[in-house]
Amino acid sequence: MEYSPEGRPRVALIQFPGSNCEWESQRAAEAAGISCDIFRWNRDPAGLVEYHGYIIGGGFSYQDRVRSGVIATKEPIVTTMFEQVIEHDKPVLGICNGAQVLVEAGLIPGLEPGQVQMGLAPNYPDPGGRIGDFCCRWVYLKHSCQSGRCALSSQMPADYIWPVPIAHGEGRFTTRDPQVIAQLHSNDQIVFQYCDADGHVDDSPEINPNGATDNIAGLCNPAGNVLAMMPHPERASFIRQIPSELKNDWGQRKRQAWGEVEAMQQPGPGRLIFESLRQALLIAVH
Amino acid sequence: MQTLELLVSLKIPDVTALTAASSIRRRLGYDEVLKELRRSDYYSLDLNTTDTQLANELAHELAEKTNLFVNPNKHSYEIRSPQDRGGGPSQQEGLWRVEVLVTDAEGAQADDIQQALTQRLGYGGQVAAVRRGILWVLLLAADSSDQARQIAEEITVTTARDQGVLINPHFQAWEIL
Repeated sequence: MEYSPEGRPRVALIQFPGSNCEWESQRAAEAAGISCDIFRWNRDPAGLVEYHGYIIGGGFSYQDRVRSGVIATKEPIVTTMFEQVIEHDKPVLGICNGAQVLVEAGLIPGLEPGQVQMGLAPNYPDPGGRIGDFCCRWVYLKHSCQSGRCALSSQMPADYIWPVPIAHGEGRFTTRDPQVIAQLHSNDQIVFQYCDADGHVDDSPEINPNGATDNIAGLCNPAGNVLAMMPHPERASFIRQIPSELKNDWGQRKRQAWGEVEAMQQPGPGRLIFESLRQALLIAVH
Repeated sequence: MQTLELLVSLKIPDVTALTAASSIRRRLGYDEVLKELRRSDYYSLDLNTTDTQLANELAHELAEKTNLFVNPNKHSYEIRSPQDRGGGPSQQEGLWRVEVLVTDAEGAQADDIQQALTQRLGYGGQVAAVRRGILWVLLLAADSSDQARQIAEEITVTTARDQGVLINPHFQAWEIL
C-alpha cells in the first residue's frame, strides 16, 4: 500500500446508492490530512485492498429498505472490507448509516466478528415527550472510554465533551443480550455517550435523544480499530458549521469568528475524529 | 369481541420487497429457493362486537374512511379473520407459502392509531385495540412443510452478516402465521 502522491494515507469512503454525506465527509477527512477517494459500491471490491482504511458515511443506503443498513451489509464490497478489517487490522469509521452498516455486518460490537449482536432500533417512541421518529439536532457527547482505547478517537482526551449534530430515525443502540452490554463496559468499548453540556449522563429525553441503552452514541470493537457512531463529526469539523447559539466554548469560538472567513475555516470539535483516523491510517501503513 | 386482520399493500411494485428478494437471492444464495417475496402492512383490530357481519363492516369502514390505514391512490387492502390464516406453511401451485409476521419486540400496540381512532374519530366504544407489524409472504421451493419453515427462518432472522435479512432479533420479533 502506498501513500497518495501528496504523501497522505489513503482512505476509501464507500458510497452506496442512497449515501448522502460522502462529499462533506471527504472534505472533513482531507482537512485532517487524509487522501479520501469516494469508492462506489459496484466497483470491483478488490480495489479496496489498496487503501489503508475505510469510511462508511451517512445517508440512507438502499433507501433504508427493510431496515437501515441491512441490504448494504450483504454486498460484496462489505465482505471485502470486513476481511481487510479483520485480517489486516485496518481502521474503519462508520458514521450514522455507516454505523448501522457496521452493526448489521457484525463488526460492532464485534465480540464475535460477523455475528450480529446488537441493533440500531428506531428512536424510542414518544409516550411522554421523548423524541420519536427522525431526530435532527445538536447534542453533546462525552468521550467515555480511556484516551487511546479506540484508534478513531485517539486524539481526544478522556471525558472530553463536544457538540455534534445527529440526524437519524433508527439510532437506538440496543441488544436483547445483557451480557453484551456488560462486556462493552468491561472492555471499555463505549466510546461516546450522549450527555449535557457539562458532561452529565442520564436517560432523560433532553440528554439521550433516541433512548439508546446506557446513552450509547458510539462503540468500538474490542481491537479498537472500528468505530460506529450515530452523530456526524463531519458536520462539526469546521468552526463555520457550529451553531452560534451553543452556550459552551464552541459557540463562543463561532461568535468570535463572525466576519472572518479564515477563522470560520478553523477546526471544529469533530475534526479530532478525522485526525484520529489519520493517525490510525499511518499505523495501518506500517 | 371480534379480531380481524387488515392487510395493506402497494398497488405498484413494492421496491422494498423487490430489493429484499434480490439481496436474499443474489447475496445469500436462495436464488433457486425464493420464488416470490411480498410485503404488506399488517394491522390486527380488536372490535367490540360479537356479530361477524358488523365487525366486517366496521373493519371496512376503518380501512376506507379514517385515512389511517389505506391511501386508496396507492394501496389495496384485504380484511380477513385470524382463522383464515394458513396455520403454518401451506402449498400453493407446487410451492410452499409461508407468512412471516414481523413486529416490534417491545410490543406491537399501535397506540398512536388507537388514540386517533378513539379520541379524534369517535370510535372509542367500537375499537378495543390495534396492533401492527409487517407481513412478509414467502413462496418457497421446498420439499416439505418443515423445510419451508426452516428456510423461512434462515431468510428472516439476521444472526450474522451472511445470514438473514428481514428482522434484527435485538429489537424485532417474528412468527410464522
